[in-house]
Amino acid sequence: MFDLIPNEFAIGGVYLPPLLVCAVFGLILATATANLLNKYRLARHFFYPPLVFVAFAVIYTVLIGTFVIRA
Amino acid sequence: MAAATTASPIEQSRPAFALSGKAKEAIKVGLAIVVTYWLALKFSWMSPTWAAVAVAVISQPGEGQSLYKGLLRAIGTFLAFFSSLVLLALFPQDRWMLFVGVSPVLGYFAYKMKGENDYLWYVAGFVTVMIITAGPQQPGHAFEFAAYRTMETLIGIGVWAVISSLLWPVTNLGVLKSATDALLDAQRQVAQHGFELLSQREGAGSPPALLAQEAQLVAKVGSLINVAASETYEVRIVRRSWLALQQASLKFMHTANRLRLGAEDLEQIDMDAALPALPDLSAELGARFAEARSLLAGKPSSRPCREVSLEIDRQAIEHLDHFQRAAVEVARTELEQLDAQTRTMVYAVGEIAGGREAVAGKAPQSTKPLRGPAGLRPIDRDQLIAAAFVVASVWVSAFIWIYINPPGHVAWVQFVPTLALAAMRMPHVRFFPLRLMGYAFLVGMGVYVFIMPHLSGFVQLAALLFAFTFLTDYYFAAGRMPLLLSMLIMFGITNEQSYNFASMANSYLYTMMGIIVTFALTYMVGSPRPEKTFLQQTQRFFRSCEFLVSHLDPPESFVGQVREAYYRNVLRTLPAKMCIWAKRIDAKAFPKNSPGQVAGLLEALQLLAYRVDDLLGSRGESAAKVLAGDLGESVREWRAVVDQAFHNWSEVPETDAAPEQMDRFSGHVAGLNARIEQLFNQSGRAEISDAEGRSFYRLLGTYRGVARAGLVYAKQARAIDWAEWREERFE
Repeated sequence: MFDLIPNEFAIGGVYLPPLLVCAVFGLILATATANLLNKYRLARHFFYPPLVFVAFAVIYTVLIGTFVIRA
Repeated sequence: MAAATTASPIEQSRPAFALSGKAKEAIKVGLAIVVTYWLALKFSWMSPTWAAVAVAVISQPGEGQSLYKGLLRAIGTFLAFFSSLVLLALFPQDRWMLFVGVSPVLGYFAYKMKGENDYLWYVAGFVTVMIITAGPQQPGHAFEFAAYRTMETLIGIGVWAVISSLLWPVTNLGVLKSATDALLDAQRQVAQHGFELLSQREGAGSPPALLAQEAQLVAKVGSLINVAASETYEVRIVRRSWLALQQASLKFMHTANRLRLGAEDLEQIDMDAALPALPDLSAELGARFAEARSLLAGKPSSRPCREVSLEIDRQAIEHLDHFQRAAVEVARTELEQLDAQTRTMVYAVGEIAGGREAVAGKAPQSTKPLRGPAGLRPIDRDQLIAAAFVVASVWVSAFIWIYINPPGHVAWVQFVPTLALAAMRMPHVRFFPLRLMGYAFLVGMGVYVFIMPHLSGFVQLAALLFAFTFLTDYYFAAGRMPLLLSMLIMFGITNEQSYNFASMANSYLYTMMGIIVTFALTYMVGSPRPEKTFLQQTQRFFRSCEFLVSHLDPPESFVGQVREAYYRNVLRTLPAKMCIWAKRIDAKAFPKNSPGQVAGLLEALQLLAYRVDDLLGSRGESAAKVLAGDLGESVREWRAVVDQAFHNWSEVPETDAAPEQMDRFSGHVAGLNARIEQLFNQSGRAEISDAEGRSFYRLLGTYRGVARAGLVYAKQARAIDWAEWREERFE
């Protein structure tokens, strides 16, 4: 299924680096995860949530870059 | 029915289509931007956007011509012009030394960025980084760059001044007068509620909305005086009287607040019997406010201020214990202050109405800011942090530029410190303007790609600029400044306009990265969560209380005086800052701590601040020796308990909310009362002179005031779920 997703994106003839697209999706997913953790009061189990947020963003970016949009 | 459908003569004479004030302001700003661009493009100035940015920043809808803000911007720009040229001349070929030189200058500007002239220092700061980065951008042209920057800023101010004074002119004099009238009316109501509370006819006191309105109006009048004086001769010649009026109103607000918050101390006392002249004073203050409003409206003086003697009826207070008598004495002192403050207000309004400057000797004294040794202002921790943060932003952006060199290049050193300065001006609204800028750049990009390439000639460009400015100013008034700035920067209008998608995409990328880096850097200052900041501020507040109560004797050494001035300044300024942060706490995220509970806690802290300040102010009382001598042991014990309570609260704000601690607290107060009674009986001090008696009870009242305020805080702190605020969560 993921083979159908292009690994290069072009807007107006300008190619965007795959890593940039992965990072944007990674940020969106990290924000969604953080909101869910806040909603269910699970964020209190983390020592320093801002760093956890960065970690989520990096993990999602790597996962998307490896399995969805192959950079 | 027929009468209801018939239009009145006024309605008949009204034009069918009338522009609202908001629309008029938006048209004025739009026109000013267009004219500024026309001038800049016509004369081929270096960067036409600079002049337009000046207009976008100084134009303030609904507040007249904003010439005062323009003046501050001009002074700030001149300051930056000279300081940056000196820095460039000192370190022309050494970037690291240039940054070393810029750091203290920028740190100083950031430190000064508070109070009514904070905008001047903000402008000085961001224009300085703008000019010093011209060195690497255009070597050898730094002076030209700086001169253009200064000139274009002044032209922007001039264009706005001309347009706003010719087209639908609105002066601040009318706004100042109406705000002052509203303030006098609000304070009349506050006084009325206060007297009702004292007489115990009504137990509620002033409603919170009225108190909030009073505070807003005091601040508004204060901010409008210099603005109105900069544009109206009528205000300028009596500026001192306006300032005296505002200062008297400010003092009145604080005194009435003390009286209201301390009314609980008087609940067992029949104040009408203790102070028989209380109803008389209430009526007199009401009449004075009415007189002041009438004078402000241009009517002649109808009555002089009448003397009201606030004598205590000794028979009525005979059955009270010494602490209750002290509370009556404190209330009398505060009522006398209200009397003096309202008298000052009437006098100042009389001078304003008469149009002459305050007469020397008669002019009321304004509140002097707190000073440390050698007349120096006390160190402000928050401003020091702001200075450190801005300097750190310079270095971080310099490292990014030099060692990573991402899109934006040297502009990083300009953009990130500018955002840092903006963030420190309003630390409580950390991410909102940055997020807004992100959206605005996106809109600007759309215009740049899809509309601007199709424009040919200034008329079409002018139409686009006017439309965008008008729509932004009309529909997004709250975020108009970041929106306009972002769009003007993104349009990048020059005489030889060229379009480059890659350059625009890079520009957007660097802007977003700059915003993210600045936001990440703000963690240096502390968590962006308002409840976390509130917790830290509460602890800081009690650390200050602890220091001041444990060092009650006036310090002799220079360092001791600096420390005392610092902590006293914290005590005076922190409750107001905490109010700002408390309003930003998300009540939905913390359902156990309602805004009402937080407001109660803030009131308790404010009361404590007043009482500790009173305690320090009472050190000069002639009766101080009595407390230090005969009652020394009891006072020392009492101080140890209070000191310990403050220490505990400074570590964990809810520590002493336990009932046994509260009993211990009040037990010492009761013990002290018994000891006073014993001493009075032994030495026949009941016969002491009136002046000595007043001094003694005033002093005793300050000690009692601190203890009672501590108990009020303990009660409010128990109602707060502190653990909920401490709980970690994502921003």
